[in-house]
Amino acid sequence: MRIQKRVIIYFLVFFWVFGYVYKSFIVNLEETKYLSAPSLRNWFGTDLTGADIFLRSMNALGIEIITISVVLPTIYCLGLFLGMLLSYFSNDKIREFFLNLIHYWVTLPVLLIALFLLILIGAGQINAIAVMIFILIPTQALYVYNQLETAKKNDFVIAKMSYGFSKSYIYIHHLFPNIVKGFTNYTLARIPEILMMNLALNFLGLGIQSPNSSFGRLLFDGLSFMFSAWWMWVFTVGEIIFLFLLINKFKIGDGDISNEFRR
Amino acid sequence: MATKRIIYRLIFLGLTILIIPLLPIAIIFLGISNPEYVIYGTLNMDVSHSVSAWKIYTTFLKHIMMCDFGTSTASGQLVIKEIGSALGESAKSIIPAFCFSYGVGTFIGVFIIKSQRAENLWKKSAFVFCVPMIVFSYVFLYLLDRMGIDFLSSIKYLFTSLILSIYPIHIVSKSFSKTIFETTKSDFFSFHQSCGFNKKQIWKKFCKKFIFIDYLSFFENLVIYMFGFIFFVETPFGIHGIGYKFVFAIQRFDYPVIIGFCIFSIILLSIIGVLTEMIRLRLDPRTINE
Repeated sequence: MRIQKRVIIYFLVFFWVFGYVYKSFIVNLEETKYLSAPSLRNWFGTDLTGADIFLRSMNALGIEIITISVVLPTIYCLGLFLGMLLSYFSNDKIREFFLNLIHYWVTLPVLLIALFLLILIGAGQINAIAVMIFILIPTQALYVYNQLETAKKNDFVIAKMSYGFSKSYIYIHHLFPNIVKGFTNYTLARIPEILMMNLALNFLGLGIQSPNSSFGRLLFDGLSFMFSAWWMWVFTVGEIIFLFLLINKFKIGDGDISNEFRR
Repeated sequence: MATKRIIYRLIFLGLTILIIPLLPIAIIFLGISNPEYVIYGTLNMDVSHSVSAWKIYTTFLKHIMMCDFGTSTASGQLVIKEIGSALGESAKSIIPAFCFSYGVGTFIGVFIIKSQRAENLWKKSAFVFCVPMIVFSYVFLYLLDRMGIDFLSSIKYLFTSLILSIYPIHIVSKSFSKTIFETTKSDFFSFHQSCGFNKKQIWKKFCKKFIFIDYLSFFENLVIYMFGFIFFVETPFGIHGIGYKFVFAIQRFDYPVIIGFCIFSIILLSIIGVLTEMIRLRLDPRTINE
């Protein structure tokens, strides 16, 4: 019998939710063992402090979901606003300056800038989210601007202009609906990028702080026990692979991030 | 237009150097945080007493211009010396990674164009490239140990280069096949065919340049990608390069090293970017009329 992939995903989601609830209320209250291997009581084993790895990874998953659900809508709205603003105002000098500024920003090592800013403002997931939003907006704006400029060249826009419709009317009723689908896909296609950045910031210890956990932190903690306590990192690695493959499988965003590498 | 773009990039590069020392002052002024410890560590300047913002700014700027980021609080060495030694160590992984990326990527790209089966196989295995490189680092390290290979020997450089080049290979092969496909279908190509040149001659005489320009167009981003995420491979493999030193500087709150690494890398990568752009615009015949 062929098992549908969807059934596997439902099962895994159920396993996570049920496991989290079960372990949070029942198992965690029991006596803890330090650095114990996976067992029926501690499914993913325990770490050096006796904390359950399964609970920590569930906490990490929650943090990832919260991060994405904050970063994604924010960069979507602000990118759209900035891109439209750039395209709307036809002062060539100002537009040229800002466009070149965004082009320059795109070529900067954003992760290093994020690290530099985080060192200055201090570690923490809220700061990390704010920095991620700050460094991702320019590329979003650039995408919107490019799409609007292409859409502007369409005959229907010229026709609407010749009818005497105002610029703002054309932008809101014709150009915006024209680009919104592509832009939504583009923004959704950035989920792996956001996850990767969050993973990097947390691996360095600049994101979420104890007692909360993240995948990056779990991996860093597991590094010291690479050969002596495999459960400290194997399950985390498995979860990260699963998360990224799930995003790829459902083709969330369906965008081509590799184009980002082209100038 | 092309020259204007370069001029703009140079202006923004200058502005970046001017803005970086302004950031800690702005953060203190806006009350977001109090990075006194950063200033104290990097500039050896106690800002708890009344020191003017202008003095902090000019001192910081002078330090950046002189590439003087103070001394490491952990090792007591000059930060610039540490950066130099770390760069040399990281280059052992980054340079082969570039060779792998462009070499293997082109090789795969050729296969994708020539055989439909290869293309299908490539498409099916594309999911591998979605996996973050840190996962490969952990898995490779563990497997190497299980296989009894001494991962502390020079073989670690080979594996770090391989891991670093996994995603770039995907980018290069994809871009290579795309460029060939687009060029073959272009008017430029059919025009030369109608002039009496055969396919091989056209590629040899005119189109080779396009592939080189295309490779150059994402060279800068590949450098940024490899520099940015190098700590994902250097930390597990224990290579004392930029990434490793950066991670442990953060663990030890060694601010001069952290700030030095960040500023140095940002400026270095920006300069590489400007140079790449200059070469690309100079070579690309399509930008002459822009």
